[in-house]
Amino acid sequence: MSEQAVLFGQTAPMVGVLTDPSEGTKRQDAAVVLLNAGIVHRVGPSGLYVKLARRLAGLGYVVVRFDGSGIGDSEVRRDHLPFEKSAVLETIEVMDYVTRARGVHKFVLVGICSGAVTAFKTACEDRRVTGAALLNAQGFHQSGRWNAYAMNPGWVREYWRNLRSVRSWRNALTGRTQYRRLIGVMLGQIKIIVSRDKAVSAVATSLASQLAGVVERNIRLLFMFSKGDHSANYLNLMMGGQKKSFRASGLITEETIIGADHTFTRMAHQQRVIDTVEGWLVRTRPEGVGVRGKESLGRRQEIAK
Amino acid sequence: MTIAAGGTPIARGPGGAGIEPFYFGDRDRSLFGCHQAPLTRMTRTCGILLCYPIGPEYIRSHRAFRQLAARLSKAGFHVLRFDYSGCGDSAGDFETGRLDDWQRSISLAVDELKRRAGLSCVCVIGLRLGATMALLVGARRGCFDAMVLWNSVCDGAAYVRELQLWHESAGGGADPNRDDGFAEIVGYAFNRSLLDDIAHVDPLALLRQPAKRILFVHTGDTDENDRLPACVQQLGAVVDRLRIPGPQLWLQEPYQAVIPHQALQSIVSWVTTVYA
Repeated sequence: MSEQAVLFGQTAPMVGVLTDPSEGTKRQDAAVVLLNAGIVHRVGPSGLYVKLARRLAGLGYVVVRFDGSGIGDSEVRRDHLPFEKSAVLETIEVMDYVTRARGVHKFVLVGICSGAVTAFKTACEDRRVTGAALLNAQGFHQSGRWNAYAMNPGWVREYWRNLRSVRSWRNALTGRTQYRRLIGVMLGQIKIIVSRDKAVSAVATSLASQLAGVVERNIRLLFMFSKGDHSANYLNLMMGGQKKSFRASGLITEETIIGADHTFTRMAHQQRVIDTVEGWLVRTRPEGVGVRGKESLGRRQEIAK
Repeated sequence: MTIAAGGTPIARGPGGAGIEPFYFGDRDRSLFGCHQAPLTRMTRTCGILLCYPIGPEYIRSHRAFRQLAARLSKAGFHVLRFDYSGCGDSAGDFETGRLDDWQRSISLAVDELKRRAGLSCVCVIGLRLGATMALLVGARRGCFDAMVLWNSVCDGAAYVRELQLWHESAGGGADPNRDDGFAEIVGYAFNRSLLDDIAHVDPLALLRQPAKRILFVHTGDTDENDRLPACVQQLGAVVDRLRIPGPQLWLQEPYQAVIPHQALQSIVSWVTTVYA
């Protein structure tokens, strides 16, 4: 295996590390791109991405870890493009670079948290993506109402669990509980139960259609959740009433890690992530998926608008 | 594992400027570095090497170090940040980390900075154990021009206890599946020999002057150690001290994106005054 420092990017120079498989290792027809977990730089939370990149290079994949603009060592963009657009464009730029530099035309995207959402959005836009591993993916849309709707049930469950905790009762009785938040969560839940929020429904419908589009293209998807993380609820909402058919496609793998935090800090959980992603790649072989066109959907200018 | 080493041109897409990432050092144990050339017409006569803390403190400090490097580069300095052997993007695994190796990494980085900047004068800025390791390297190599020691570790054994307490308070316990030769500390495997190395770190036992001028920076509410400044002063160093209120950035969760502006600005002001 060899590692190389790389600079790429049209608008802002982005710093990355390209990991190539050892000579003699059978090279896979797809490259893996690791996307920043929030604002943690390209080594990933607790260095997880470095370990993952080296393990996947051992399977024959070219792997790129890079910092999106404004994160880690990469420059800040000056074009005021919102993050949800710039992140997709920058991922496409990195894929373009790898296509030119290594002649690879298929990609598997892996991300944690916002990186997972970027992976999904890029998969929607670029035909070269044949697989995506989405770890604790939260958000998917910037609508505040959508995000409150997706996260509220998790908060309610948290408060429900806390009913059995002496410490929580002590906090409640001594004024150390955030009463405003508690009331907001409860009111939010009542609102969810009694009313149908059109804005939320519109987001859910749009995301379900994006998910259907990705599945239609035969893209392999791995969703990993830390137990109790809001991400599982986001996927449930995205699948909506079509859960059975999405799952029956056989393209979606779901995996839950009990006891893990949002960024898989504990070493045992990091190991589980690495083993799961590796096992999923070996089992589902995203590099074997045919792509109709080798280039992106040509929507770059549209995204940038 | 082989890594593109020093002198190998990096693969560059269009638009790369200002910051240069590269690998340097031994071919099989290469170190990752980021060089930032001065952004001013005038170049200062001294290059600056930044030494990160280790393990979970490294991840939490990266953003602030990036900012510090940018400010120093704007002030006319050549700046090099780098990852110790087995840490960050450098070759090797954290699990095999040893203090000697990391001090050797600092020494290699000093030489690399001198080579790239074409300067013979180096100022080293370190945080936590990074500061202490730099101090030991300065004394061993024969005196840096200047140093900034930011909450340096003055008692290795106390530091190890601090790390273990942090792990426990973060809800971590011993992993029953792990080999006995390792202790997990907030997501990082510290081998027992490394913990032993760290526990035996005693900068107060220095016998040689580590730098001509040293600035001690202390942030946070903890008690400041007076003995180390007194010790290096006795060895001939000119000592300045700054106590700065504000968060201990190496303990903050990365998503909080804490940038200790006052501390960074104070450090930049001090070095620009020293190298005016």
